[in-house]
Amino acid sequence: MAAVIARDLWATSSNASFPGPEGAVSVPVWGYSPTPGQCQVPGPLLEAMQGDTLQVTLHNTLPEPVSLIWPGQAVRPVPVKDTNGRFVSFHRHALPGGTFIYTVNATRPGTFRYESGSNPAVQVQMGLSGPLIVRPAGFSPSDPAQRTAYGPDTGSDFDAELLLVLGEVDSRLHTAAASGSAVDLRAFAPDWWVVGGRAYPDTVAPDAPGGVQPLSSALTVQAGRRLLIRCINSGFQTHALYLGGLAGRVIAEDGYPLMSPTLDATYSRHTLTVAPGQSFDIILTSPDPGEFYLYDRELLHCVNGERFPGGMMTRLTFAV
Amino acid sequence: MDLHLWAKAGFITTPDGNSIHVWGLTDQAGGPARVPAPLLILRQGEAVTVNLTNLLPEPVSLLFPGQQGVEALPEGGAWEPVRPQHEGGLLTSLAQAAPPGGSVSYRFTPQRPGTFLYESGSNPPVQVPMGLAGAVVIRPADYDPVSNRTAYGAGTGTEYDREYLLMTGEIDPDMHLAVQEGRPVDFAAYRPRYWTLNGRCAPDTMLPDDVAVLPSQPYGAMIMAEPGERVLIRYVGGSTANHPLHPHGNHARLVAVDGHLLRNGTADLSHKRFTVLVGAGQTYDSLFDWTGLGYTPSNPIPTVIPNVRNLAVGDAGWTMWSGTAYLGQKGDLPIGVVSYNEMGEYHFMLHSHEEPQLTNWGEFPGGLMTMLAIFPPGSLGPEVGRLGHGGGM
Amino acid sequence: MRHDVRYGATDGSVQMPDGTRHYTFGFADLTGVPENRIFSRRGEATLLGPLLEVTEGDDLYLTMTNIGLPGRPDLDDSHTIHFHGFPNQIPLYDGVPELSLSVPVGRDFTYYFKPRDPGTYMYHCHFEPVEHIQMGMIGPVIVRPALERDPAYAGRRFVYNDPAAEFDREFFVFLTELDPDVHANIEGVQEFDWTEYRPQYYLINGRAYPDTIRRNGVPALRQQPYSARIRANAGDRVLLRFVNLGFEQHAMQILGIPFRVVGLDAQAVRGAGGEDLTHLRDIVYIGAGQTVDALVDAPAPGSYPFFNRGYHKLANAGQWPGGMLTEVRVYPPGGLDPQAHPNG
Repeated sequence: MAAVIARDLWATSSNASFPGPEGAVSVPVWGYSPTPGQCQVPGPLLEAMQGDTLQVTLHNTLPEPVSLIWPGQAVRPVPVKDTNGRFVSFHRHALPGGTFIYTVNATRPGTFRYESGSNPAVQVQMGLSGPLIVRPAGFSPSDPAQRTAYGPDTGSDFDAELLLVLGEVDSRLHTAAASGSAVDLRAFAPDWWVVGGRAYPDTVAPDAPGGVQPLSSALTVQAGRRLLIRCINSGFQTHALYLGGLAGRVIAEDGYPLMSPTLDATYSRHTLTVAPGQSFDIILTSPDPGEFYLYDRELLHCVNGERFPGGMMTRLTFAV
Repeated sequence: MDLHLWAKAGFITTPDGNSIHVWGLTDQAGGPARVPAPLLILRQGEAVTVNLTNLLPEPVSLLFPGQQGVEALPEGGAWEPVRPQHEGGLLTSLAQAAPPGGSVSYRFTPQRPGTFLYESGSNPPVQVPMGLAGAVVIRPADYDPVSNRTAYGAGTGTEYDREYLLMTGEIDPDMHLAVQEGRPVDFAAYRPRYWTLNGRCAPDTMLPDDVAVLPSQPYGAMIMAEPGERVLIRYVGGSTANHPLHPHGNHARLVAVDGHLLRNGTADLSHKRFTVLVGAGQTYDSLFDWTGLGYTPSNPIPTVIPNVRNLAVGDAGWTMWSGTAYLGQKGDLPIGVVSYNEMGEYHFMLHSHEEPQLTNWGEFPGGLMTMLAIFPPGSLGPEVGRLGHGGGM
Repeated sequence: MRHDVRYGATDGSVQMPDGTRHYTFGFADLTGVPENRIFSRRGEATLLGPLLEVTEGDDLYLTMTNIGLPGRPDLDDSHTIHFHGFPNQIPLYDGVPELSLSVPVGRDFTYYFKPRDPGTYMYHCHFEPVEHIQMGMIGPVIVRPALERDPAYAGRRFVYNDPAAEFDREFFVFLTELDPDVHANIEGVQEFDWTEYRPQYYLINGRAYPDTIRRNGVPALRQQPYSARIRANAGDRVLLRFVNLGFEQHAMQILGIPFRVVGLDAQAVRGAGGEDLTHLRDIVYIGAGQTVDALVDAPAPGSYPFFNRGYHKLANAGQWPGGMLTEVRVYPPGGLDPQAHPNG
């Protein structure tokens, strides 16, 4: 019963908001949007069932070629090169004002991302990336036995799930790129660190559907329930995800489950280094109620400017 | 067990003569601040209360990552679960804190053996790099220092002969100066100039515990063992960066991370590495043993060492070489070279492989390095390689 | 089997794709060079140094001769060779100057190794290592498993002594960075404050993109002889020998092809009970001083970008495209001849 899931994404621009010393600071961003209007960062969650085919039409309203690459998917890249044989894009792109249709066979379940493979340091930093979740065959959100990330017997059954998309924002790079000025990547130096496109305390504000930064990264779950954290690092720096003092069980890395019929290679951590491009699936639970802050234990990323708290922090509440 | 810690300001020194303002903890009333914080050696199943008195100008709290059921007793309050503190909906501290001049207590019963950290949960981007972090070792319930010396209990494959703990750190002197002068920290300009193991920069890392000239840095990082002995090295990522630590001389088997044994039932997930990437806030337990390749004067090395006058020995004016190829033997060294080699022991460097970290403000040698010395059989006493002996790591 | 190898410690220079030249230190291959000709190799160091390839159980006599730095005649630094990760080493052959000895200009020293653990390693100078490693005194090491000498497996190649770890082609993917200020300062007889280390070029096998995809032995890159392009026929099993001898952590990805990690730090990934811990990943995250052996199965013919997912490192002096970027080029079955040597 594999389906074809057709989606449209517009690569477009907008302004995002980050906490500054005297109130919100507006920073230009680029992102993928489900509508032709303002973009969102991160891009909208794409979801498919294992075996489905995703057909994504990219409409490019930006002034340079934009593409979609699908790390971890069985997509054969068709790079675009210039007349000197140098990469322009890692995969076929949509020219400014143009479109391109991508076909992705979602053959394996897991936590993935999509992002631009064109001028990637600038475009991914500007916000052109988003999460992709592929559900395992037989997945059913209402059947506890089939509410898993990787199928039965993978240790990945869950009651609730939380998506944590990590990244960094270098506002000077954003301003330069948005105004068409040259970007010198040697100067890359983030001034905000984000989860779900926002810096704390915005990370724990509610979802804002239709906004530029619609994704909240806070969650309330009933104590004793199994929470699946899907952590994706779409940034360029490592981040040490601290699980609030709780021990999480890592059940998959890069969308590859660690438990198989022959070996259980899952493991427990309370802090986990997530390198650029990696994804981790972690089962977390607390038998007792409590509030837990999840944050980057590299600590210097938990500030806005000169002040703690800020940056790469969010809050998990296990409720009565 | 009842512990008392004071959070206070102090200074640490670097081998290039710098004196750096720190915020540290001490377990001695009136004693100097110590960096890292005192090593806590606890026992699985035995309750502990930690009483914190804060002599610093901002609130200080303590987090015990990996411990369950930690409770806090704020000043004038009652015992309650540790929870993040807020003001106006904004986080102010990750745990109940002691106000300046005040106190707070924490209590918990360690449920699992292993290597852990404890650190401040208040303004951590400043307080942890300033020095408010230390290590925690939880002994297994069945631990006995003579008859059952393991990291995770009998039958876990973690028996050892000697144990050491190495906690990494970084220092940006501008940050410490800003704190000393009460100015905001400019995180955008953050750039470490010193790197430490157990709070010291090399070569101070190779000095013993409790040297008089380093009153605020009581822990050495010198590893010593004999051939065939199993050495437990507990790596702790104590500050804000990840460090790839590389002991020369042999691989080591990584057996536990964050205090969790790399085992699922009967499946063993431990594996060997020659470089362990010690992540920020994380702990890695590895087992190192060196057996050698059997070279002795009667089974000699197959090459001829040229006359040492034709080679560079002790370019810096000193060496740790014995002068021969053989364990337990000393040989001739060029005149004028001071040798710190005691009895023909082998020295292997253990260091971060991000080599700029092997400097003291950019000058090599220094920083994140120590030695792993293999001594002739029978030459080390049982007190070598014991945590907590004489207050040291 | 006995191997005699001789490396000369000297200097040289390398070129980046933006046309800039950078002064380097490094090793030049002096093996077989007559004694009265070795000093003609002064200034001929390559980045990377020569591939050191031996088989488990061999007797390797590696003589390192310090033939001096013509670009810095004032600098009388000694040099050593440290075989990084060699198990159960003794200090005399470990190459750490403070713990044994080092080799002054004009002298030789012979290191002896009898490798017993097959896998991917690296060698480098350990004299003022922060300077000498960044300047380029580095090279790859492959210890081949004894299984390859078994007549029953003649002509076939394996990562470790495990018939299941067979592969068709192998490439080293040796990661480093280059800070031009370091190289300019050292050339100009100036001190460098290592806390100011800021790389501007990111290299694979000593080259930055697009030089990474040029072939081995390009005349214009005389002192950067190693290509970083991965070439295979569809269906081939390719071994990628990752080495990180830079000063940063790197996260590597091939778009469209997963890695099967079979070795870490020259050890087959196995639990203490022999558990098979090999695993699939899309990102190889590797710290300085680590090695990773990863197998990839070459899929359909095409060009697969292979890059550092820290995208700001895909730049030469801040300009994209550049840096730590290369390609896996897959040809139709039979398209490429068998590999004559690693990285071929």
